[in-house]
Order: sequence, then C-alpha cells, then structure tokens
Amino acid sequence: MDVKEIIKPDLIFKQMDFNTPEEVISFLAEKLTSNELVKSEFRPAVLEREKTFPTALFTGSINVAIPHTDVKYVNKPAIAIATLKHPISWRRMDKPEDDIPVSMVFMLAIVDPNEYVLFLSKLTTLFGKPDVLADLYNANSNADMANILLANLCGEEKQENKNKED
Amino acid sequence: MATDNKTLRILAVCADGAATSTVVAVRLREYFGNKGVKVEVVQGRVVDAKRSVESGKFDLVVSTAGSNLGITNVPVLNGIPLLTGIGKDQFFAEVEKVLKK
Repeated sequence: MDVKEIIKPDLIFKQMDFNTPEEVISFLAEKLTSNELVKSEFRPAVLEREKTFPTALFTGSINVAIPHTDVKYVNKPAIAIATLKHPISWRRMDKPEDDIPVSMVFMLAIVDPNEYVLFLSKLTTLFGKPDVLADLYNANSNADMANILLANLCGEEKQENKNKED
Repeated sequence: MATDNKTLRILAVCADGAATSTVVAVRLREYFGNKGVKVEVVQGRVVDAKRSVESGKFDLVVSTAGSNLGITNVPVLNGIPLLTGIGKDQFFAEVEKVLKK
C-alpha cells in the first residue's frame, strides 16, 4: 500500500473552530463522504460508535482522537484530519469516564486492518512523540502537515535525521 | 518466565475487534517473539470479551477500550501503551508480573 494515497492535503483542515466531538466527526465524515471515500452510513456509524467507544488518546502533550468505525462503510482507505483552534473535551478510549482536551483529530477510514497494521502502528506511535505532534499542529500549510506525516509514516523508523535543530 | 513450554494465550480486544487490537496483537507477538516465548494472540471485540474468556483458556486480556470488562478470573491490562509507546516498559513489566502468578 502507498501512504501517499491515504494522506492527502485536501483532507486536512487546519485551525478549525468546533465545540464538540460530534461537530468534528460530522464535519470530517462529510468530507470523506463527499469525496466518495466512505459510504453515506459512515457518518452516523462513527457518531454512534463514539457514544459507546470514545476514541481520545492521552498523549501527555497534544492529545488526539481517532474516530473510526466498521470497515464495511469504507470505499477507499483515507484519513481526514482536523487541527482545532480551541481544544475540545473528548472522552478517553481507555477510560471512557474521563474527558481530556483534544486538539487534533484523525478520522480513520481503513479497509483491511491487516494490510494497514504497519501504517496504523506507525501512526499511533507518532502520537507518543510530543515534538512530532507539535510540528504537525504548528505546520504552516496542509502540504507541510502532509509531508511531516509522510516523513514519519513512510520508510524505516530509524530515519530521524531531518528537522532536528529546534 | 513461569510459563514453562506452554504457549501463552492472549486475547486482544478493542471496540470493533479490528483496528487498534490489530496493532496490539502485532506488538505482543513482537515482544514475546523477541523473548523466544511462544504466544497465540486472538483478536476480538470488547463486547464479546467476557464470553471469549469463559470459553477459551486465556492467560491475559489486553484491551484498548477500557479495562472494566466484567472479567475476574483472567488479568485485564490497558493496551493503549502499545499504541502510543507511552508507558510501554511499564506495561510489559505489568505483563511479566501478572503472568508469573
């Protein structure tokens, strides 16, 4: 699989102004739907799933959420991303009774988890890196953000030689 | 490890039994593979976890969707550290501890 097929600048939305997880989910799911990447049932399915199984991940720095749902609602693998102007309160995946402030949302539309497992594990590992999260949040453009993601999701994990001089 | 030659059986669960549990399963196979411990990781959904544990002989359950699964006879650990890498060493220390019992 080709990560460039999944990470697309036109599915990145920076500095969005939302108040609830439902608003972000609806917005991102709508973008995936209008691009025919997911079926029309995807949006209600993600919203419904999020009620029982919320998806915020506590990172210790910029917290993220990864709303997703059953693969049967997906046409073509994609990720829609939003960075939020103001953090919004989102329930934790591992402790649904706890809310944390989330500033970046990665809506996952994946087909076969086994094919995407390496990609998914690299993506979630990236959430444990505060410097990369900050770079993504502060990226100047959609293209910049896509490039940072691609640099971290493609290739071998030991290639960490660029952008190291902050 | 106090597991002798038997194969460890781990149930990895997430909300849909597809996305995050796949990552958890890979991480667990990697970890035990590197230690030369035989392991069988079965994936599932949290809603089925209790029933799976009753019918299958599992040594451990790892969940990314909360640890309150109503399971009392098998240890249940939070698998989020295997996704983000945050607290991974602590997670595996806990795994070693519960498997020694």
